[in-house]
Amino acid sequence: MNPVVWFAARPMPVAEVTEATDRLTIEALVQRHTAFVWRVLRRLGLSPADADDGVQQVFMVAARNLARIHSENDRAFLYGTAVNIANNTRRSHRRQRALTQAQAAEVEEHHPGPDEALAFRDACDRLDKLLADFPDEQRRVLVLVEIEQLELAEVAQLEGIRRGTAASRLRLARQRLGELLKKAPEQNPFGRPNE
Amino acid sequence: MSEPDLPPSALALFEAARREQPASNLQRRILDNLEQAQSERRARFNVILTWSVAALCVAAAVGFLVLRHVGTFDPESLRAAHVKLGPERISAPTVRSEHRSAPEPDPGPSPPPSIVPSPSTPMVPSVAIAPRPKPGPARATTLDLPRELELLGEAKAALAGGDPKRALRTLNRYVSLSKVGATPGQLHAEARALRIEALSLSGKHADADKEAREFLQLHPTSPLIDSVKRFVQESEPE
Repeated sequence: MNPVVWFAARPMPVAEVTEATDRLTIEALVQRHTAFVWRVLRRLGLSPADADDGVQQVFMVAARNLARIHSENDRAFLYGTAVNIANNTRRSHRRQRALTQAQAAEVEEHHPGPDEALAFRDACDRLDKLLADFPDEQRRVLVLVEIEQLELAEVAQLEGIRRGTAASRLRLARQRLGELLKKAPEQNPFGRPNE
Repeated sequence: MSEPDLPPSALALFEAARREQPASNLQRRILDNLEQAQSERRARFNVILTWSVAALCVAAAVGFLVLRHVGTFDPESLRAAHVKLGPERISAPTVRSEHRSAPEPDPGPSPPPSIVPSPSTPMVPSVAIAPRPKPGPARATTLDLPRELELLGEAKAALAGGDPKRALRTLNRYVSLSKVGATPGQLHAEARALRIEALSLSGKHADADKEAREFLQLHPTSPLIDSVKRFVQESEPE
């Protein structure tokens, strides 16, 4: 018998079965939610490099708490962990303005490309600058609804708040965004830089 | 979908953010790091498990050695218990029929009391102590050699202490014990010689003379002839 076939077909001890199942679940979580967690971390003020590290930390925590995670609460668990990690990371960066400049440099480093991609990178940078002036609760709701396109009910579940509270925060966030965009039309990313 | 009250610029910003993606190899890096962390945890667990098993084995070995040398597995303690019980059993048959002898200070390697099957003495059960092989010849004796030596030693000490009557009592006990069995003790001649001396020293010269003459007839080649003859000569009435 082919030793590889024999090895694959042998009965596995309980520890190996558990380990294999856990690894499969982790792999599934990573495949399904890496982009979501990364974008959330980016929109919560982390640079691309910090967002990479943050995603790593989120899934490390998830791996240690795999028994508590199931299909109904996997995104909520990862989101809550990502928020905590983002808060901790931002607290460790005291100068937001310098960070914004670093973000711009890293965005360019992460997305090197032709000039038509420059507007895209600039748009992300300017959005981050706008969101930096938001209260954290409104910022998160705005990101989840407008960027991740989640329903209010799911947003409320992720935030651990009532749907009405989520709707209220979203309304306030939109008002604030509109006012900021009206005040500084030169910050419109789709206008020329000097406009 | 977002409400239409947001300006188009905002919608454009959101669209751009939505298109932003992490590096393509980020998932692979995450999985590799997770696997490495898991391997490290497994290695640490194996080290801890190995040391725990080793510590358990050492503790078990130490516990076994302690029990062996301190606890009930000590053969010396068993032998001491055997020696302690031996003399009491040997002296038990003499309590009923004879005067109680002085307590033995050091029993030494005393043989078991199974050689005293006397009807006048209580049958002492021999199950508490492991039986030892009988010393001397295979013939049955009522007295064992250590007991003979002991009694004769008492008689000699009584004579040396100027108490021939006590010596006679001890020798009478010796004689009665030796008469229980089919043959006399191994030191019968010595006992008779001591009795002759004791009779003479106690003033019973006629008895001493008579027994001395009997001794000379029964034991013509005994090394005790000279001492017994001396008493015969001394016992002759003037």
